[in-house]
Amino acid sequence: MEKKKNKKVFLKVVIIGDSGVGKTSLIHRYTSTRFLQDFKPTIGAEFSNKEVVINGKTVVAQIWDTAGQERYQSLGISFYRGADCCGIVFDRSDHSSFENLDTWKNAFLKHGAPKEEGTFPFLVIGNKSDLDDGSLVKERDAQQWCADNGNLEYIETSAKDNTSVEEAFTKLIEKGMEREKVNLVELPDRMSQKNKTVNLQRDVAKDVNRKPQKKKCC
Amino acid sequence: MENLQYYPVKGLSSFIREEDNQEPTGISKRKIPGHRRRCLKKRKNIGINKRNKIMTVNRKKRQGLTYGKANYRPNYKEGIVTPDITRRKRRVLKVADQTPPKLDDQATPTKTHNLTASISTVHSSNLKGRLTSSIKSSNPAKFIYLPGSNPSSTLRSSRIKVMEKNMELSTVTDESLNNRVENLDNNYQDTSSFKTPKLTQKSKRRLRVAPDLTRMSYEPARLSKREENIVSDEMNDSDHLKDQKVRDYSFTPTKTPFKKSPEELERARQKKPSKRKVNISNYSVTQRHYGKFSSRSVKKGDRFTKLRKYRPVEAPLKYDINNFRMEKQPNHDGTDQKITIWCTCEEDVKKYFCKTARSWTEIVSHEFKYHKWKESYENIIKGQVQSKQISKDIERTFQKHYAFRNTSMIHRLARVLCAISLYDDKVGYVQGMNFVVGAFLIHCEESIAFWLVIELFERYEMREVYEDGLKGMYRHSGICDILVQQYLPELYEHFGEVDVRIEMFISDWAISFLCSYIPLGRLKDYFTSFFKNGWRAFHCMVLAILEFSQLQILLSEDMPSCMGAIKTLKEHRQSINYGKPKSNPSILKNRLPRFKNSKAHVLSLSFKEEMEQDEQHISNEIWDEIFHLFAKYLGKISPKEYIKIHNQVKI
Repeated sequence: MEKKKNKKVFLKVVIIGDSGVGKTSLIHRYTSTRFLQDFKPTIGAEFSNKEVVINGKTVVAQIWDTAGQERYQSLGISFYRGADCCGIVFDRSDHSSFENLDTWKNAFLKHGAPKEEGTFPFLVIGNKSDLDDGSLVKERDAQQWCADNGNLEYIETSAKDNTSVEEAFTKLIEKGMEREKVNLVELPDRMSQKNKTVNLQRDVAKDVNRKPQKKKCC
Repeated sequence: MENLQYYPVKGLSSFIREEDNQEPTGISKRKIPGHRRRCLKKRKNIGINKRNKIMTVNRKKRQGLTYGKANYRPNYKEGIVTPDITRRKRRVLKVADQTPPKLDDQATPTKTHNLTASISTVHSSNLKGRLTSSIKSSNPAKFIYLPGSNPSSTLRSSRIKVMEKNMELSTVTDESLNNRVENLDNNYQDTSSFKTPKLTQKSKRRLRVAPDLTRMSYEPARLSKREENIVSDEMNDSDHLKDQKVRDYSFTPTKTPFKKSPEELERARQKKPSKRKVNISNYSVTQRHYGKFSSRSVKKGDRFTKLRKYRPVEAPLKYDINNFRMEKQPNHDGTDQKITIWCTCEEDVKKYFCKTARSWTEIVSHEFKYHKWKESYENIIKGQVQSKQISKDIERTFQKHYAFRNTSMIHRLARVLCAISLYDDKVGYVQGMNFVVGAFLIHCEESIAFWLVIELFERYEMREVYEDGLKGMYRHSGICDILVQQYLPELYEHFGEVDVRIEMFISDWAISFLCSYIPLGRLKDYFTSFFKNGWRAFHCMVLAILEFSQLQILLSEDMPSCMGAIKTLKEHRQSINYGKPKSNPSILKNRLPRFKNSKAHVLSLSFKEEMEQDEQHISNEIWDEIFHLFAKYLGKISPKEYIKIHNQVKI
C-alpha cells in the first residue's frame, strides 16, 4: 500500500481571476464533466480533487477555487502559498477582466512568493468564448499580452460548450509536473547531508507551518 | 499629449480622457468655428497669393472667408487669396506674427509691413533640421520658405518644388485621411505591399471631394533621400514650432543645406524612421485588432505620432441598478398588492412582514415604527451607486429558490444592497452580503430587511467581518479553533494530520453568515437564536455541523476529501435537481423524455417530483438532527465562557 501511495504525485493548482469570470464552472466542468446550473459566487475558497494519468504517472490535482472580489485578496495570501501552477482566467466578453490580468499575476507573485518567479508556470485562460457577438477580446490581444509577460501560454475555453477545458487543465498540470521535476532533482542534493530519504510532502508541510506565523504579523 | 488616463472601471462612463476636459489651444481647432474667427482676427489682415506674396486683406474682404469642413480655405473669388495655403504655412506665419523677428535698430515697423525682417535662418541647436523663413525687409511682399541657409537662384526653384510636394502632403486633412484609410484597409493588409488601388466609381466620387489623395504618396520611399531628409527636418521643425513659440532668428551660414555629413544622415534616419509609413501600418493593424475606437482618439496635431488607443468595449449589464433604483415601493398600509412575502411562517396582521420578522424587530428595537424606517431608507437610496459587482451577484443568489426567479425580488435585492453600500462607504458591497439580505427579504419588506442588516452591522460586529483585511473573519476562525479543540478533540487532531486549517471553511461560513449553507427554509430559527445570542449562536452552529459530519471527516485521508466531507451537506442540497445520490444516474437519463407532453415526459416529471420530495425529506431530517445538536451546544457553552474565549483571541 505504501509503495502505491508514494507513486502518486500531488499538485496544487490555483485558479484566480475576476469575479463572475467562470472559474467555478470551469473547475466543475473538469472535475464532474457537467455544466453548473446553479451559479453561486464563491466566498473564500473551495477545493476539488482529480486524479489524472499523465505520462504514465498518476497525478492528484488539488484544484483551489478562489474568490474573485478584491476584498478577499488578503485571504488569498494563505491560499496561494505552495502552489505548483496557476491558471489566470478572464471573461472574453468582459474587457475589464482582461485588463485586470496584470494585477492578478502580480498579486499572485507577491503573496504566493514562489521560488522562481520568472519561470513559474502560468496559464492564461479566456473563458466564455461561446458568447460570440463580435465584441470578444481577440486572440491576438491576449497572446500579445502573454508574450509581453514572459511568454505565457494562452487557451480559449468555454465551460458551457466544453471546448478545450480538459486541454487547459492537462496543460496546466503538465507544466506543474515539469516544475516539480526540477525541484525533485534539486532536493536530494540539499537533503543528502541530513536525511537520505526524500519526503515529497515536506514542502507542503513546511508551508503549512509557516502560515500561522504570517497571520500574526498581519 | 498622451495622457490617456484609465480610471478604474466603474459603471459605463468610466473612461475619461484629460484632453476632453481641456479647453482648446492653438490655432487649429476644427470643432469651433467661432474660435477660428477669433484666431483670424489676431492674424492682422494677412493673406497670401499665388506667387507667395503677402497681401493685406481688408476687413470687408475678410468677411467673405468661408470655413470648410476640415480645413480652412479662404474664398478666392477676390483673386487675392489663393486656396493653396497650407496649415503649416499659416502656423509659421502666425509665429512670425506673434513674435516679430528682431530688427536692426534703424528699421522701424509700420502698420503696412507687419512682417519685416532681414534674411534669417531659423536655427535650433537641439534639432538638426534647419528651416529658414527669409523675409526681406526691402521687399516685404516676398515670403519664401527656404530649407537652406545659403540661397541661390538655381537652388531656390528646386527647393520650392520640393516644398510644394510637401505642401501637398500636409494639405491632406484628417478626415480625408481617415476616409482613405478606411477605404484602403479592406484592400490591403501590409503597407509594404501597398499599391494604389484601381479606381471604382465610388472612389472617383470620393476623389472629387478630396482630389489631393490621388497624388498623395503613402510611402516616403518614393521621395529621394535628400527630399526625405528635408521632409523629416521640416516635420521636426513644425513640431518644434508648435511647442516653442519664441524662437531664435540668428543666421548660421556655416553649413551648406543639402550636403550633410553621412553620420548626420544616419542619425536623422534612426531618429525619424519614415513616420508616415509606420503610422499607416498601425492604423491598419489597430483596425484589424480591436473592434471599436473613438474617432476622437486621433487628434490633429499628433496624427503622425500617436496611434489609436485600445478602448475596451463594455458589455451592457443585464441588470442596471440605476434603472430600477427609484421604483415605486408599496404603501406602508399594505394596500398595494405588490408586497409578496415568500416565507411559510405565520402571517402577521400587517402585511409587510411575517411573525418571525416581527419578533426580530422587537428584539432589535423596542420602538419599532415602520414609517420612520421606510422614510430613512428611501432617503438613503437616493444617492448614486455604481457597482458592477452588485449587478453581477444579484442573479447568483439563491438561484434555485422559486422566490428569486421573480424579477421584482431581484430588484428588491439590488436596491437593498445599494442602500447598504451607500450607508457604509468604507465597507461597500462585499460578496456574501447578498445571501444575508436575500434571507431577510423572504420574510419582510425592503426597508425592514435593510435596517435589520444594519443592526447586524452595528450591534453584532458584522462590520468587522466585511472590513478591509477581514479582521472579523480571522477572529472568528480563531475562536472556532479553540472551541473545536475543546469540544471535538478527535477532529482537531485529524485536521492537524490532514493539513486542514479551520480558516479554509470558516472563511466561507463567516462571511456569508452561514446563509449560503443552511437551506432557506431553516434559516429563520438560526436567525432568531442569533438575534438573541449573538455570535455564540454562529459558533454553536459550526460545532453542530462538524459533529454531525464527524464520521465522514475522520474517514477521509486527504485534505480535499476532508473538505468535501465537510461540505457534503451542501452537496446534498445542490443535488436536488439531479436526483438521488444513491440511485444510478444512468437510470435517470433513460427516463428523461424525448418529446414534450408525451407519456414518458409526464412520467419522468412525476418521478422527478418524487425524487425532489425525497431529497427534501432527507435534508429535513439532516437539519433536524443538526438543530438538535445546535441546541445542545447552546446549552453547553455559556455566554461567560464564550466571552472568555473571545477575549483570548487577539488580532
